[in-house]
Amino acid sequence: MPADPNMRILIVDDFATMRRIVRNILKQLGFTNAEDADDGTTALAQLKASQFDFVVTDWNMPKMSGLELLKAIRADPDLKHIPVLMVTAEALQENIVAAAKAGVNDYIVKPFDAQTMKGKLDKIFA
Amino acid sequence: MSQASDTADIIAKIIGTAGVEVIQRSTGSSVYLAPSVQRVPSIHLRPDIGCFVQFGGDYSGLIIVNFEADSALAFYRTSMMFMGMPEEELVDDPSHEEVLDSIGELVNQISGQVRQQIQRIYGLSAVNKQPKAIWVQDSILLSVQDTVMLDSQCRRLSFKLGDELPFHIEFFIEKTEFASFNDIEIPT
Repeated sequence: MPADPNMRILIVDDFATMRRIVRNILKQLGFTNAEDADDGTTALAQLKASQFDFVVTDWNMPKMSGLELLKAIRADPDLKHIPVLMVTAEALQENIVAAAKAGVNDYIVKPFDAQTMKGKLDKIFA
Repeated sequence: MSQASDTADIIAKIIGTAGVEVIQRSTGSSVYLAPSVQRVPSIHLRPDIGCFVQFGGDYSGLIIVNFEADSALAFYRTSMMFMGMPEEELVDDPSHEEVLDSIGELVNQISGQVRQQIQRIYGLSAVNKQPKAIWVQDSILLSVQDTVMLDSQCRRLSFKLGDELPFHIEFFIEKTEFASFNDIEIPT
């Protein structure tokens, strides 16, 4: 089933510029229902407070990293079903393995464009 | 030349290559890297915008990227438009928080690629904290706490964005030597 254009997306990144870029790329692809958080701790609180359908999270963040956020999501019965796309600045094999073990749906290496993001969404929501 | 200098020069080439690749990928523009590395006595945040990131783990050090205002603004605008942001939504002030933030994200990506390459080549890993970009009025000398920064481990690389807009990377790597076990023989 293709991704619902009305799905509620949480964008998590410590850099405001990157959050803005991701939001704009998603908008280009028709997904306008997006909110953002600047670290994993804030994101987790938002996820618990209301319903989201998809999480796009950076890997390297202060307070709670993207991997820690992913593990927290998968450990929570109310959140564990949410697809998570991990955004990384480097494609380190050990990071990819760790994210895969923690239950990530896919990962994307920065910088990326709308076409790359579309490919990931098509794969995750196939 | 000491072995430590050799390793610093190797790191310089890794950082230079990562800088070119990341900025070309981010902007779609050509990036020139001067085909030489300067051995410098110390490293500084320099006007107009300096960004630094410290890394530590199996090895430790500090990377600084210095932009003049025109170069920083050109990088910000080119990279944002390259990733699909409308030109009318971009700022024109090089000291704007959004420009500093984009430089911070750039350094984050360069640092990530450098750490990835070092892990691929040497199997050594490190992590970095969030890079900090600031508007700089005068040069600021940086050092790493509890570390003697010998000039043999400080380097400067010179770049140009789009063939005319200069920027520089300066870095310090702790006194260390990366030597592969493949090149070491145990006497029999």
